[in-house]
Amino acid sequence: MAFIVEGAVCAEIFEEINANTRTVKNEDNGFDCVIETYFCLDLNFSKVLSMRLLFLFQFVIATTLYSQTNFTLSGHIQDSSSGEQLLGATVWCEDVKVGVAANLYGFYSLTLPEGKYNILVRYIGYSTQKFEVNLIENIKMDIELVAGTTLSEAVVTGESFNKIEDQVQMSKITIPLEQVKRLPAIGGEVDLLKVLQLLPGVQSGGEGTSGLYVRGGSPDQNLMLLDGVPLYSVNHLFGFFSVFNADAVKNMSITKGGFPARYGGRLSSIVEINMKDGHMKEYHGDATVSVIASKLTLEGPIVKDKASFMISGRRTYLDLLVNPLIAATNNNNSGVTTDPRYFFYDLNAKLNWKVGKKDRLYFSAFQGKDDFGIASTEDYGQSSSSLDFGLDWKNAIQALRWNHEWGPRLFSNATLTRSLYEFNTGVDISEISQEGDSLRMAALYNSGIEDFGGRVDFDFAPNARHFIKFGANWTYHTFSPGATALELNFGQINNIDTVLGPEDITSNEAFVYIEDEFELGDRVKVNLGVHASSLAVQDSNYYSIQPRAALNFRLPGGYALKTSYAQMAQYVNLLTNEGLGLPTDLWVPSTARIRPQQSWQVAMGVAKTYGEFEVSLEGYFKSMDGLLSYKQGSSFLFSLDTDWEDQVTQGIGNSYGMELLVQKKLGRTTGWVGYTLSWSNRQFDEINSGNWYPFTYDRRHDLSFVITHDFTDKWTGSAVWLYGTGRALTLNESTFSAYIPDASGSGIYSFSADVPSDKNAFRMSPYHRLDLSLTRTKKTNDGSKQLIFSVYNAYNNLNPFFAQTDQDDNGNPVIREYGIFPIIPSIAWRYSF
Amino acid sequence: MKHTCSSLPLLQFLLIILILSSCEKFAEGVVHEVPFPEHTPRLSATLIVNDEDQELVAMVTSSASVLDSDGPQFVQDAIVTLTEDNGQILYSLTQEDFSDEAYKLLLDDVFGDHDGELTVTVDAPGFEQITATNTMPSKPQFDFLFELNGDTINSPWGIYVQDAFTLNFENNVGAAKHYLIHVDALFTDEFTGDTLDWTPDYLEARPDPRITNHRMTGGLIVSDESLASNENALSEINFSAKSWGEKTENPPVSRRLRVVSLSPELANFYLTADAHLSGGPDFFAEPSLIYSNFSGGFGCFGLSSQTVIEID
Repeated sequence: MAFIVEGAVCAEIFEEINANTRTVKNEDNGFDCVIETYFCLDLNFSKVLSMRLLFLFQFVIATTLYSQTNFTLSGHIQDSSSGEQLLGATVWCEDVKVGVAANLYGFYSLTLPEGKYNILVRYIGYSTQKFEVNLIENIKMDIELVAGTTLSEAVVTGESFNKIEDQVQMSKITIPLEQVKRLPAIGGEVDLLKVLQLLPGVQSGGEGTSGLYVRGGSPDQNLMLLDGVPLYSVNHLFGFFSVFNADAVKNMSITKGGFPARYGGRLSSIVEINMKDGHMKEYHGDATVSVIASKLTLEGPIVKDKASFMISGRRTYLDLLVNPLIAATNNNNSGVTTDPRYFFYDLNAKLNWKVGKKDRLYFSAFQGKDDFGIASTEDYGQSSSSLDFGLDWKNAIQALRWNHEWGPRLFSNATLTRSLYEFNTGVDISEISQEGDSLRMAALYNSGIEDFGGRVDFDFAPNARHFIKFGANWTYHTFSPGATALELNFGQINNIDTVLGPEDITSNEAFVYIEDEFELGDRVKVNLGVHASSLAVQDSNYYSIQPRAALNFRLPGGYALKTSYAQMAQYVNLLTNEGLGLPTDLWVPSTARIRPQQSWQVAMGVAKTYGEFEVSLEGYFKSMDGLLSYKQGSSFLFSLDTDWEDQVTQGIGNSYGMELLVQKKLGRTTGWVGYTLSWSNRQFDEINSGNWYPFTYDRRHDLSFVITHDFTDKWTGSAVWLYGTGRALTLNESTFSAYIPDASGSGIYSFSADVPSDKNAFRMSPYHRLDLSLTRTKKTNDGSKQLIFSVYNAYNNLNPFFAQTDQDDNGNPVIREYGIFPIIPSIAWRYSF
Repeated sequence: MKHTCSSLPLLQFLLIILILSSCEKFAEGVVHEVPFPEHTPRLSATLIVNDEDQELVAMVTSSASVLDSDGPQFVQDAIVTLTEDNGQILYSLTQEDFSDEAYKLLLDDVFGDHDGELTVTVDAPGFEQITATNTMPSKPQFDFLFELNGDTINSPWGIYVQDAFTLNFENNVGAAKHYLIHVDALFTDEFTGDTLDWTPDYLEARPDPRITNHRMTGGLIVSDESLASNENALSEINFSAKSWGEKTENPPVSRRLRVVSLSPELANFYLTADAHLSGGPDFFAEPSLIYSNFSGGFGCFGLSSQTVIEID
């Protein structure tokens, strides 16, 4: 790909930039020049593009630094009642038709020439604030917006800014949390990732599971950031729930393509989920009881308007409910006890401290754990035996964040992070014989990954038409790709206590980036950037220069034509079976033998707002290299003497299609309609005889309707209907017989063997489901109570979960699809104060 | 602002009807049966020949759909023809040679070495002809060290004493080679004193990427495919052998080391068949395919040559 700047005027501009002499102005708009940009495909593009980008940055910096006398209006935008920072809130200057959006920490910076201006501050679900400002010096102004009681009461006035057609960023979707909380949920437990699965371009791994497959990518190609910290496992209950507790979350978004330079490390998507900062003025709480779990969230000031906290916990209680039944059963079986157990919990906590006018500290922590197992004992008087099987996995993250305003135009965020994921499974068997001899065998398998990282990001807004971000990141990974500890005790003799399996692998991953979002005249907005990353592992070094570009061209009639290009590299891989989000999934690094995953993606689309409806239509093509898969016949069930690198193979893939999203965020009725038409294919030399095959999650059609409606002040309803082409799968098609010489070499050993179809040649039945929810809200003196009725799979369509060979009524073999989720009604009760 | 909603009871009613009308599906769990395309039977043939063989054994079956409860059927009216690369027919097996699942032809002498490519053609009425080619690998060249009771393992189940072997193969750089190793023991009957047949030993190798434990044959397959550029790629092949029937009072009267050189196609067939059949059901693994070198069919035509050394 080459970046070409055309025209005699532009040639002159570049000469002047090289001479670094003066600011270039365009007389039409008084700011910068208009540059026409074209993109054309060229395989050896990255070096050329990188040089051009560097050249363009010189130009950008020149045009921004040598400008006339400007002053800056800056500060934070926050909720008037809670003090919660409102990221994405917009500050719009009506007079010159420019605006900025608050960054992730609610900070905004709008630089304008000296003068009086009318300013509008807007945020979805909040009343718009309008005021006049006389900009004769830099002004720091923290702005508080008043929330409407519901989305339906949000005030929409004046000319809007930051509508979908205004944004350069494409392929990014944000869903208001209030809307998410009103959607139907299995077991009454709202799941953020399942909501993301309803968006175009995003698919689930299977019925009820939380895995995300974005534009033909694998789950490991999604960077899940909780308060900016990567989370390696997002699954509870074998993937049927995600670890994100909606009560603790402030906002979430997903970026599927057109990645700005600040993002990196994954090929397919960035999912950003941020915890609430904590109420700065009053103590508040939410308590929710559902059939699956109970949750309690508390937040409030530690020092009013200075420091706050938020803590939220969730735990399932199936084990607590069935314990009395199990105890009663055990009491009736003398000598035999059986104790199954399963629970998960998660805990979110956040501290938020305004250290001074320019500094703010945050501390975020999350811990979640699943514990599954069964213990049994048999006591026959003189002899006894016991068995304890366990399987548990846990996540933990911590982040210490420091925000600092270096001036009205420069803001920084520095973060220290730790992320841990551990998986353990084991069995412990012991026996004492009548003679008193004891025997014990124990095996414990564990795997995991631990990261320590540091990151610094700068936001620099030199004027209203440039917004520059730059920063750096370093992460130290420690991978534990599966080791088994064996302990064997046989009385007094020959005890064994050893560890088998691969050793830990460490790696250093780092990146730097710079991007600028700027305007070229009235019709063109551009985001250009470059992301450079490196990995040092096992005496090998990998480097990657990843150019990023996005362009928004305003067409007549309020339409915006958007296009983007992004290269990505990924140095961590998840070895996984395709489907269930099993905790046995194994995180492994790129190594001297395993090359990094890489991709490039182009996207083009149109966007427009029709009244309260945002409409976007996008087409995309993504090419991937270095994809990792188990070889045929291999899986996570490694034999102890096999290196995981010998079990895997690398290949390539592509994905292309189009996505339509019609979204309504305001009014009594909100929701969206999403449709995806897509193709996704893969090729591995050692799979499917080296031929291309459809990816397991190649889904031709994917359609979702999501609607919420306020019937009355008390009653709110919501419905979700989705349809998707059936999942691709490989089945054994036929059998044949053959032989090999037997062990002696003089006879034969005959056998029959199955012949699988071409990889993913079959399709499961199409998936479709309707979920409904009805919420009754009752105001109380100190808050509100809600009763939430949900029905999952309302018309009880048993969607296929897996397929297997079975026998029909006549004993003939058949292949059947099985569903596991029938209609599931549920009820939850919520109390907010 | 206060809203009223007259349609709410109707919605509730519809919801109840919707739920109740689908309750019969609760217990079944089955979505539906997967429609399978009609299966067209194809020939499957297996002909594995060692240079020391005195009998040719060919198995010919017709493939069957997985939904066919009868499974694959033996094809008894096939003609299996083995020809040299000059077109001269070496052997032909016909319906008269069929007995007990396979076509069997006793040779006047051992099969021996054959230069050049050999081709097998299988014709049967109602089936498309299938063919495969293969080349006889040269006899294995190696030296070895043998240490009686040279490997002792203390285990919770007692002390295990095994014989230790170290093999060093000649390796032709650039050529993939595969060897199947067996160790056999010869015993006499405790009561009659008669000499029994050779009995294969149990072989065990420490983790080594060059060695695969081949469960179907009980042997070890040593492969230099990934290490072909290294002259010493197949040196220091260490393993242990243990005779199943060995007793202190009745030790083997003799041992022999049997090393079979496999053609790459035959090694691939051995390895994929072992992975397919001996690994046990793995719900999480993608289905694997057994290698075949028959165009248009299944099975394998493989050639091998062996060296047998008796150990005193």
